[in-house]
Amino acid sequence: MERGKNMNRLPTSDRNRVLVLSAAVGGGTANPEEKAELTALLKEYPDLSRDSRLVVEETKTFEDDSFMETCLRVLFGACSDQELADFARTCRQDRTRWHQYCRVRHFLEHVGRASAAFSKMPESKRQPSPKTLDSIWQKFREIRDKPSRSQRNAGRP
Amino acid sequence: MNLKAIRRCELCREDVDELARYAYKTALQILGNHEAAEDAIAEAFKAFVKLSPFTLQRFEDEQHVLRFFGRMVKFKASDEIKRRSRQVPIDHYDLPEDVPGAVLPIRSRELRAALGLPPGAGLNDVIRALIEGADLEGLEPEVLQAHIVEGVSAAAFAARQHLRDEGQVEVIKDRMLRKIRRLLGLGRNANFWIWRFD
Repeated sequence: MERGKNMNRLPTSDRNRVLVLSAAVGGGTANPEEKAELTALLKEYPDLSRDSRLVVEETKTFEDDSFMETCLRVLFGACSDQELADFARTCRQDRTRWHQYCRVRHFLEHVGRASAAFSKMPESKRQPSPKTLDSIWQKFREIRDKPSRSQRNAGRP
Repeated sequence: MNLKAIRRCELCREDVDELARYAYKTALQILGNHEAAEDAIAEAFKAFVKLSPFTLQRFEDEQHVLRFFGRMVKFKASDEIKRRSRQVPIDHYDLPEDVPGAVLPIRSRELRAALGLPPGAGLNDVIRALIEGADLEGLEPEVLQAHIVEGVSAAAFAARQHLRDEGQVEVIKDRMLRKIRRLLGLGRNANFWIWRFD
């Protein structure tokens, strides 16, 4: 009930401003002044904190998904020159995005190489050798026989 | 396979061998070399012996155990690549300061070369690995292939697949992208997702 009362007292313009600023923070486009403004507004209307946090998270997820789509389109060569130029500009402005792109590309290169290597392997090489099975069994026994932390602690004075 | 013993987490040598044989190909396909595949399987066993009795009791039959373990190995193998990808330095690839889009060295031609594929080859192997790794299902692989890679519009895709409208395509796409983000370790709930087996 308290929350509802505060919401009613809050001017619509301020409430909208909180949402706009939260979306900007989530999208990574807010400048320091806007972040400070949002902090000040949330101090004044703490009951909006939860809504603000939700908007920040949802916007961030949406932006992350959109960027992932762009990364895939860029990597698969499925984007226009304009999209590519926008992508390059985004990456130059936001190094986190560039790092994400590097990780996606590295991952894809790895799985591509591994998949190519696997397809060239003869069927006999795709099965674990008796030596490998021995090694896995030894490792399994070590894991299984290792005393748990509680068992180790029980032995201490 | 002794299902009763497995439900008590008492695996004998034969059970361990059977599970390892079943999952070895998957690990090898993702990781590309025998040592890493062996490590991924050992890591999966490490997680297997820590499973709660509640989870162990839910095994219905041998196939269920094999599929469950296969997924564990797949996630362990993906974890290993994610770990390596996280260590990639930010300057691992070049982002030129002022280059027109058409010659930016991140086009599919360069990716093909990096993957050791001939210039004319498609990226089907990579896409297949992505579909497999991220557990894309239903129309999700189609959305990745047609809508994102081939650039088929959402409206055309919806008409082709007899979907109600393009909004449905967006919903499928969002779900698919989140799965891929999680696979690549970019999702916020990545670890939680890894342990959701069913």
